[in-house]
Parts: sequence; structure tokens; C-alpha cells
Amino acid sequence: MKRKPTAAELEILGVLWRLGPSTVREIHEEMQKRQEAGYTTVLKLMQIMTEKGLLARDERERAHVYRPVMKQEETQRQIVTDLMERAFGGSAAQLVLRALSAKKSSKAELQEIREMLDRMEGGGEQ
Amino acid sequence: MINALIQWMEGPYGTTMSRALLHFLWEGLALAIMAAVILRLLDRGSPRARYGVACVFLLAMLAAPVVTSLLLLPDGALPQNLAPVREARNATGWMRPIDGAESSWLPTVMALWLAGTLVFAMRAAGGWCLAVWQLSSGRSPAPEAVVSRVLELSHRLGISRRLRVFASARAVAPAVFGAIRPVLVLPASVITGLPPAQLEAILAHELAHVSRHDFLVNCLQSVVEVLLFYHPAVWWLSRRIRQERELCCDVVAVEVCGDAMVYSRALLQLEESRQAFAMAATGGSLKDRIERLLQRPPKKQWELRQITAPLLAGVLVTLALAVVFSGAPLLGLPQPAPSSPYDTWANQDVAYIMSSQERQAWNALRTDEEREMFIRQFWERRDPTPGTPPNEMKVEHYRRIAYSNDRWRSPQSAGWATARGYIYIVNGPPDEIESHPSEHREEWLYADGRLYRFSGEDYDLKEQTTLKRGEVPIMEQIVVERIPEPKRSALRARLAGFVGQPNSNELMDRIRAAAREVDGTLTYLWSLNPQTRNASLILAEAGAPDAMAGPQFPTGDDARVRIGANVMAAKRTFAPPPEYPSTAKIRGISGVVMVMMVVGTDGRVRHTYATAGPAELKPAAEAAVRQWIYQPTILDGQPVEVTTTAPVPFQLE
Repeated sequence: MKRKPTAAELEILGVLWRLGPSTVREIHEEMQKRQEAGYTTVLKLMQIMTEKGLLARDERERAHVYRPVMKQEETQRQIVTDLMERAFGGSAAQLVLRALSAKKSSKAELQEIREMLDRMEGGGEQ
Repeated sequence: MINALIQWMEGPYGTTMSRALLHFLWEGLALAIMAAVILRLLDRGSPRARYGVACVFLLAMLAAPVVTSLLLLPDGALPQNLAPVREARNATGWMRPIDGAESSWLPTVMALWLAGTLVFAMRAAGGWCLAVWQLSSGRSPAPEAVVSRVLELSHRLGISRRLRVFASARAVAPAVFGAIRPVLVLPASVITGLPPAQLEAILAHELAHVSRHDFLVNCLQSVVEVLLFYHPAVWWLSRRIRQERELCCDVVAVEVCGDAMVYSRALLQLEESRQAFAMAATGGSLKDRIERLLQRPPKKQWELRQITAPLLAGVLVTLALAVVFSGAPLLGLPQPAPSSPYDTWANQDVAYIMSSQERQAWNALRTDEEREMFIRQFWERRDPTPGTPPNEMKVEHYRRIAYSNDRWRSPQSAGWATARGYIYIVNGPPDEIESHPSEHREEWLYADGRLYRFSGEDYDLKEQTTLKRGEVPIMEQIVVERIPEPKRSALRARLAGFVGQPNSNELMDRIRAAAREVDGTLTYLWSLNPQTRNASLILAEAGAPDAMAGPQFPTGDDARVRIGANVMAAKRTFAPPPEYPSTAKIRGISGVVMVMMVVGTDGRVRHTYATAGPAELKPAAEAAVRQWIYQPTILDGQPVEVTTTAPVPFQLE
């Protein structure tokens, strides 16, 4: 599942969706119109986004060209879904009858359970 | 429509419901404590027992505000025919029940509750839509093998409804949804990943939910959670029900697959595969659940003495809250019986003048006929002229109430319920009033030396003193200015010696005797200086209208001749009713005229002066009073003149 973009990342994605694949300089110029943004900050952010998988990088030229991986509609849909889940997720979970509704067990607890089951099986039924 | 809603909220039904919702704060706590204790006691028992108990308590929580509302609904809140208690209603019906500041609270409470219910209802609706979407997206019909397994298990568990089974790429854990045409959604990983025996156990668990109609119960829980959203006890109990429900279905799953180990392994597998995904949790910990399955005793064991202490504490806290809440006027839990017009009469109209014996007798009455009889006798006992139709005491009493309501009404309370209203109704009009409105201060002085001090925003009674023996006031001055010469000088000379003497009844007698030597027809009024408490005597010629009304006297009040005289009018032996002036009758003017008069030693009325009441009725009132005959007042064996005031009522039929 892809990570949800943060507010700053969304801004950059917004610019990319508008301008199409662009270099860091072009993005930076566009963002300067709205607010003060350092070039290095924008560069760093876009590099992180590439690592996250939100952007793809074309390294054929000396100035790398970035493009968004997901289409705008997809991202928007994902944001809306996320909001819905945050708002109503608890309520939805209560309405559905699940086999497993317990709190998430920690790794330690899982280990304990496994050992307990192994012990009971190995030592014969009690 | 908003206006209609606001009106309902402020009406009797709305305010009763608000009170019931507030009472639920302690009722819910009490129920939760009881449930917690019982569930603890049943800890070693079957989950079914605990599930049942928890559900019963949740129903009780739902019922509590309804029952409370029914208990709180006052009869008097509903409009009804007050014909039988005409006396209590008293023609003008201004004895409104105290609403006061507390009532303005309750509609706000109701509004907040409605808002909260709306919010939580929207949340539930949103959750429903989200759940449906989550279970619908990315699903496809399950493989045949699974479907046939499901059918088989359905038969075994006695489920008649057709179940629809789906495999889903989105689902994280197996889920069941719906009551009429239930849907079973299985994650693809579960279908392929679990060995057949474990899969069957999981299916059995889900189908157990269907066979037990758990979905409907769950929906009912949601309804309760929306209606009683503001009480954490409701949320706690609801969560507990869900936990026990899972344990119940676990039991069924183990029964079906025959092996607790297999089922436990299946659960563990499910948990491990969902580790990567966040999922809202409604249950307890998996470890506890598996431990119970394998019939290991739960770690916590409670002995009896460990329960009694918290139980006792819980009961005490609940009782304390209950007492606090029912004591507070905000919630207005009525005491013995809901209010009726009779209660209004007893608790408002005559509350100040009913003796404790009478009150005891009143409380013992059971039927309305008895009450009517009591009311009749109550007034008869107080009628100064039992032979004549008008009951002057009753008229005077209600006049005082009307006066109080008129003068001292405030948004916080009706006039009769204020401090000044109370003193006025019980003692009658004071002889002197000194008012300082800018300082919110007022002082009342009665002829027998009682002094009442009112101060503060609400003019509360701050001080109540009586003249001490050593502080007998002196006769400060004798005013003869109203008397024309030559009598004036003669009186001044004759009475000069009395000025400066300590005031007393004897002194008043002597002054009167001396004044009569000069002129036998004089009338006199006296006043008390509130600061020094010294007396002044004002003499005036008989019949002079302004002689009767001096600036020292507030309107409509009695003038006392003697210190310590009886507050009520002297005994009247002949008092024909006044003639109703036709002009006033036509115009519908009615009311009570206060007539000041001097009653001579022979009992006949000498001078009259109407001080208060409708102007159109004053001449007729005075004319009537002039025909009255009193029993002469005897003091030390001698008949004396008295100045007194009497109400003359005019009632339109």
C-alpha cells in the first residue's frame, strides 16, 4: 500500500500534475510564486518522495526530470478514503462481526501464544 | 419548525426528558457497577451467561431514562380543569408555580443531547456505509469447496437463511455483515493459507454469529450508543458485550471442530497475517481469548472480600450522587406526590400562614373532597366575621399576595416568594418603609417595634430585630399644624408636657384624653422614626381628608393607635356589603378598596378615607364602611377609639 503524501508533498505533486514532468528548478520557480521555498529544501523533499515511491526520476539528462507515479484522481481518491476511514472506521469496525476483533498483539505476545500452544500440544492434552 | 422544537423543549415533556437524561448520569453508573460485579462473579462460568447478563443490563440502561421520565412527569404540567378548586385559584390565578432560573437550564441540556445524538447517528450511518463499501470492493464469489463447506455448517448450526460467501482481496480478516441476507467475506489469504480443519473452525465461528442473530443485537447496541452517547458506562458495557460475544462464538467453533487446539492455531495464524495491517479493534487481547479457549483459568481471581470493598464504595458513591441530584432543584424530583391545584394551594397560597398542626392534618388527607372541606374550614377559622359572607381575612391575605406579586416580582421568582413578600404576607403592611433603591436597601418598621432590614440584589432579609425593653422610644413630637386656630395653640399648650416622655400605651391614652379636653372630635395618627424609633403624633380635625393621609405612611397601610395592637380589624357586628356602582360594573371594574377609618367608642364608624383601590369604587367603599358597626375595643375596661383599615372587596359575578 502506498504511503499517503504529506501536506508539503501534496503541494509538489499538485505542481507536477499541473506542469507535467519537470526538473527541480522548474518546480522551485513555480513554488516561489506562492511562498518562499529554498531550492535545497525542494530538492531534498523530492528526493525523499522518489524513495517513497511517490515520484519517478528520469536520469537521462543532467538535470533530472521528475514525474508523479500516481494520477491525480487516484491520489485524491486515496485521500478521501483515508479521511472516511479515520472518521467512520471505528464505527464500521463495531458494526461488522469479525473473527478477529482483538487488539493488535505485540510480537512478544505472539511468541508467548505460540509457545503456549506448542507446549500444550507437545505435552499431551490436559 | 425550529420554534416548535424550542417550544417543546421548554414545555413539560421536554423538561421532563431533560431531567431524566440528567438522572441517567447516576443511574447508568449504578447499573454499570452492578453489571461489573455480577460479571466478575460469573468470570469462571460460561460466556453465554455473561453475554446474557450484559445484554440485560444494557437494556436496563436504555429503559432507565424512559422510566425516569414517566416517574417525573408532573400531573400539573398538563393543562387541566381547575374548576373544583376555585378557592385555590382565587379568581385571578396569579399563583404561578415557581419556575425560576432552573428551568432555563433544561432546554439547553435537551438541545445539547439532540446535537450529540445527531452527531453520533451520522457517525453510525457513515460507519455503515464504509463497512458496506469495504466488504463490497474487490470481492469475488468464493470457491465451490468453501461454499459447500459453509452450507454444511449452516445446516449443522440450524441456519435457514441463505448465506452469500465471498473472497476478498481487501478484507483483512473474516467478517459477517447483515441480518436478512447475511454476507460472509473471507480474505483470500485465509482461504488458501489455512489448513482445512482450521478454516472450518473459523467458518464455524462466523456462522455462529449468524445463528445467534448477533448482527441484530449489535445494531441495537449501536442504537443505545447513539441515544446515550454521553455516558461512558454505556460504552464500557457495549464493549464488554462484544467481547463476550466473541467468546460465545469461540465456544461454538470449538464444539463444531472438536478441537480447541486447532481453533487456537487458526486464530494465531489470522493474527500473524494481519500484523501488517492496522485495524480498529473492538475486543480484548488475543492471549486472554486463547487462554480461555484452552481452559486455563484466567489469571485474575477475585475473592469475596476483594469484591465487597469496591462494591460498597460503588454503592455509596451512587447513593451520594442520587441524593445530590434529587436534592438539586435543577432536576426537580418531586417529593411525595406530583403537584395538583391542592398542592398549589397548600404550598403556595397559604404556605406562610398554615400552622404545623394544620399541615400535618393536610398531609394526612387522601381524597379531594376531604381537601375541599379542609380548605373551607381553614378559612372559616380565620374569618373575623363568621356570620357575614365576606371573609375579610381571606380577602386581605390574597390582597397581600397580589400586592407582593405586583411590587416585588423578579425574573428569579414570583413576588410572593421573595423575602419582602414573605414578611408582607405574614405581618401585613408595615407602618414605616424606608427605601434606598440605589443601595439596594430597605427597612420596614412595624408598630410593635419589629424592624426588618432587607438588602442585596434580591432584597434578602438580612436582619430582624425588635425594640428592646430599654430602648422604648419617646414621644418626639406632637404635630398640631393641621388644626386651625384657635384650637391649635390651645392644643399645643395642653400637650406640650407630653413631648419627650417615653412612649407607651398609657401615654397615648393620656394624650388622647388631654386632646379631648380641647376638642373631642379630633383624630390622630402616629408614626415611628426608623432611625431613632421615636414616635410622632399627628392630630387632625375630624373629616379632613388629608388628615388621614400623612407623608409618613405608605399607601394602603394601616395606622396603629396602640403599640402591640391586634393586626386584624376589630370585630364587626354589622357590615352590609357595598353597593356596586353601576358605571364600574358596566366597565367590569372590580377589586379591593382599602378604607382607613376611625371607630368610635360606641363602635360606630366616624371617619373614612379610602387609601388604595380602584378610584371608581372608592366612594362606594367609603359609603359602605360608614354604615358599619363594630364591637367597641375595650382596653383596661374602657372602650376606646381605634383607627383601623379594612378591605372592602368588589367582586363581579
